[in-house]
Amino acid sequence: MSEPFMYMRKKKNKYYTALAIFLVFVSILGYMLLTSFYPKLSLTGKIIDEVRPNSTITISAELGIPELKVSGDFKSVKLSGNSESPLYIEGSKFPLASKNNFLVFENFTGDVNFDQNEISKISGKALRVSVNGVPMEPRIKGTTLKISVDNFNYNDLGIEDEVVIKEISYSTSGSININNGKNIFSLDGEQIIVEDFVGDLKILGGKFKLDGFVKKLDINGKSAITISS
Amino acid sequence: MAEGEVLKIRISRKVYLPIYIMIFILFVTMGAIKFQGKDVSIVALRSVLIFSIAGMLWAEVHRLKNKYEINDHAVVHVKGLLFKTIKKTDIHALSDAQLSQNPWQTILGIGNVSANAFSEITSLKNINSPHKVINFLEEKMNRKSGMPAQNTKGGRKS
Repeated sequence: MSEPFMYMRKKKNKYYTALAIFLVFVSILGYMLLTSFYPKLSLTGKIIDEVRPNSTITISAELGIPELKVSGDFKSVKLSGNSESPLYIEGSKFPLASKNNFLVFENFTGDVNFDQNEISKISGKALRVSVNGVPMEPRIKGTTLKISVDNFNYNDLGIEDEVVIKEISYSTSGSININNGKNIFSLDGEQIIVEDFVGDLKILGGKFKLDGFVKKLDINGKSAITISS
Repeated sequence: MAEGEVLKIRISRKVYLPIYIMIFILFVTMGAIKFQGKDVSIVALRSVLIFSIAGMLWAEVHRLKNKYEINDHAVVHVKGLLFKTIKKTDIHALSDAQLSQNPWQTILGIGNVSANAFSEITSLKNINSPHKVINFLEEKMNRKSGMPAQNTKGGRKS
């Protein structure tokens, strides 16, 4: 190969290497800015949207409280209880009074883990937090507040719009109303499997209330019933 | 300059200034985002770290790949890290030396020095203090040819 040709090729390769490095830099910078200032545009958010099940059976149920972990973007998470567990907002500790605490997290993104005794963990971000009626907002508008609570002894819990539960399987008592009263089932210590639930979740007066849509419901007890869309 | 003095040179780190500036911009942006109370996603954080480490490593490896040496007998260019190519150009054979700088190199105080032996050219690319290097090379050439040393600026064509 002639020397001028080699020189030109080398120069071209050098140019492409520099261009590739610059493009990688711009991509990282762009991605960092986009995901920080517009978290809704994030790739993970898109994937979660796609995972949302296409459930069509209307369900309204009042059951025993299972041990459950829910995570996602919720319009609000409301909880009340008598707990001395501190609430952490942006790493700062907010001690709670031992009686009648009412917490509201608006536009919450994160995880809520609970069982029938306590909310073992709430961890995530919220646009607005209200503690016993006192609202708290981030200093810079549009940003979020980092929140965490552990081992909260709760009375009530409400998660609205919209909870996605891939599967719950446990033995429980209560009632399940399917398709606005077309089928009503009373359960007495029976095993149920709820698949792909989308809707609101509430725990009120020791009852676990589901309001939304499911893809499949299995009841295994005195009789075996399966309803699927 | 004493006889037997050897000058060992590597590519200047200033050449990699664009890479360092990019890494600096990424970290400053990350700091600004944190300062505004926003979160940097874990993917972005990892990307910044990987880009920074890879960039610094690549720059250093690229720099270590080229080593130049000017001694009483030859101009030596050692190319490669694991697989080395050593090119020696005899000082006797050198006809002239040339210094070239583009505007960017002039600002940074670096340049390319070429030692020409007829059609054979040994280039010392992107080196620090190129004027000092070309003077050093010329003195070696003059000493070999028995001419008195000249202090030239910006290169010499003989």
